[in-house]
Amino acid sequence: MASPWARRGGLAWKYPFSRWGREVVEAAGLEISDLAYDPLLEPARRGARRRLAAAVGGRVYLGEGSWTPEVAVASYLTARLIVGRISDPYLGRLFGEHEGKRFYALASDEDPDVLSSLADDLEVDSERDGLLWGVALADYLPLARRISGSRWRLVNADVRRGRVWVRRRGFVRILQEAVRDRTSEAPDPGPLPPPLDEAAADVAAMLRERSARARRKSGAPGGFPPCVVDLLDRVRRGENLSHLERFTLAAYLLRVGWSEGEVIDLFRASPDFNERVASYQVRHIASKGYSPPGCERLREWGICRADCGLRSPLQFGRRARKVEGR
Amino acid sequence: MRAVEEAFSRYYRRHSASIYVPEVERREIMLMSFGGGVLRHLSFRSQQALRDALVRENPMHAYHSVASYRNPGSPEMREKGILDADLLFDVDADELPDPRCSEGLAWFCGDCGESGEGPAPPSCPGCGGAPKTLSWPTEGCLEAAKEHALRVIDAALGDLGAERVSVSFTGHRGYHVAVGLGGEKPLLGGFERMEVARLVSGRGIDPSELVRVEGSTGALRVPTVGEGGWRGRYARLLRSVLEGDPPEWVSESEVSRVSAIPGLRAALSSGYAAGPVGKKTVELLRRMVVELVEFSGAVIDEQVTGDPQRMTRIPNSLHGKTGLRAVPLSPDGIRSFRPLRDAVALDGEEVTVEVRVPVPRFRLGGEGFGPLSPGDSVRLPAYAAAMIILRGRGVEA
Ligand code: SF4
Ligand SMILES: [Zn+2]
Repeated sequence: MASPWARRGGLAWKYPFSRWGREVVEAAGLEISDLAYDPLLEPARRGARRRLAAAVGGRVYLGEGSWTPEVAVASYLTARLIVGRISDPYLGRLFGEHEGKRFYALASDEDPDVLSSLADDLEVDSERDGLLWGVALADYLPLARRISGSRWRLVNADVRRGRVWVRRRGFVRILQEAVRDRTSEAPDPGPLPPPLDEAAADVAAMLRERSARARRKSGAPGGFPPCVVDLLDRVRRGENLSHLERFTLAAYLLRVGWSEGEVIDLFRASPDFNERVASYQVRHIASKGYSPPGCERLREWGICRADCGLRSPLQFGRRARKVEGR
Repeated sequence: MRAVEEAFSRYYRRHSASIYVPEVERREIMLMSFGGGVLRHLSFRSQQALRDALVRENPMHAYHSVASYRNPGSPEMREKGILDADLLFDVDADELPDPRCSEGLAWFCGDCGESGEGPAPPSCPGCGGAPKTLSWPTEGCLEAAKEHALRVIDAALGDLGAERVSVSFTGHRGYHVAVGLGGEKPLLGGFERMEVARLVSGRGIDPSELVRVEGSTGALRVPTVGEGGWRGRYARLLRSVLEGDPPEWVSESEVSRVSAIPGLRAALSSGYAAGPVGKKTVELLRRMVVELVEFSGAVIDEQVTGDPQRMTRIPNSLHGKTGLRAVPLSPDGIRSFRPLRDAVALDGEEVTVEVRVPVPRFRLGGEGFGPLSPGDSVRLPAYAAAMIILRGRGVEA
């Protein structure tokens, strides 16, 4: 049995964003100059680079077993400073996605009391009852919104007394979204000491390379309808789209003549991009020849961005073309 | 419409003390006049100021925002600064798939004045124009609407654990249920509110999520009776079948198939797997999910719930399509509420009405009227005359 200290240290290692992480920062009196120059924190600086490389590359880096709690927390803080310094919302989202996934990997079998306490820390109102956690609707809905799969929709869920009741894995999945929220926005700390500034430059370079890979020019004749423009924008900025949004975008683009490969490339910018899944889905939509949903549906799903007076976004280009042709 | 307007005015002068909008200083108020004018973005510092305005303006329709705002009177949505908004559920008899709601229909051709009973024919037999269907609020149809409002209330109190539920008869063809969840974080996002709407209506339920089968073994996973939402409702439905007490819409074949599933009873109470079951049984179980929603989901306008900026009628104001009062009710009070008796608000001063379109026999305020035919000229108390005139079936003589 680990000593209480080790256990708490372990929690800071796993959850540096939480109050356990903050306790370590306070106890060790960590400051920016320590993060930049303290020789004992060299592994933390290396760890921060690897963390960000993983985030930009769409992988997950858990950290090193040899890290002390200080190093573990310093690695997270250093990475966060760099994200704040680069101040690119796309990088912020990638980092949030990374920290969320890392959290899920480390917390899925976590002690229930620790999970409840993490929820408090993340300001997720939860209540435990045996094997279940009840998450207050006002917290559940915005967090679950981004998770695809019908089990997350309220109509299919166990909803009682204003709470959605989920088992441990489900609870951790919800908390993952809260971790993502907490970590995807970092304040700009201002100019960094040279060692950290160099690291930031490297990360910025990786980021540019990734964007270049993902970028492609748009240009259907007559232009895209507002809903599609918005979806395209958001994918390119690296936002994760919901399943419905992704379906709409893919079905639309395939219909107006994009190739499967082009559509898959587009989604490469998404933080949660998975080559195998994405190509399967895109191929499936292409082979079935699905049309994008009609405007009424899109309005219902909150995807519609303007009242174009159309029945389907596919009519947008057509109408514009016709008007031009006259 | 003079006589109807005057009857409205007498009502507001005598009864304005019964007008009460909670947190009135935070609400946006909207009034529509008999002339068709609309006054938006009004705000009032006190109940009395609002009452005075109703007496002065004598509106045909009067609404308040469900949301509370920092600056309710600002014409710019952004500057209003939304603070919170109850979830509003709109039950409208026009949307109900209930046969009771097609009673009393009549049609009228604005071009030549032809009319008749029942829904409008595709073209007017008199002049070939396009006639309009006119509805009529009937006891039966309003009773159907009440059933759906009660379903909303059940879900609000049970699943949603609502802190506050207020119900009101709209004064026309339905009910509004406003639900406050309590807690510090307001639920304002369209998607989030729509999710709640779908929980209440059951629309979008995924039967394969409630009835799961483990591919290799055919083991069956169903929800347990203690769960909430549709999961619990479905589990309790299956239990009622096993206990020989299913709702009437469950068919014989459903009863025998469900009863034959091994281990189902234990699965429903404990969450263990049942089965194994074959494909046919799985299909039937999933079909029952859809049927359950059809027979017990509340039919509501989900767009209304999704939009935090919707308006609802000011309690005890008059509805300009009927002359009935928008009546605030308690979640229990609605059960014994009889709209066509209890919502009558105008007085009995006599008005002569010339009938243009057939009027069915109807009861209002405990008295019977009609049936009336085009050409009839009758003296009626103001509340009955207003109904005929505002429903477009007659004019003031
Ligand atoms: S009206 Fe149709 S095409 Fe236009 S933005 Fe909305 S959904 Fe897209
Ligand atoms: Zn006609």
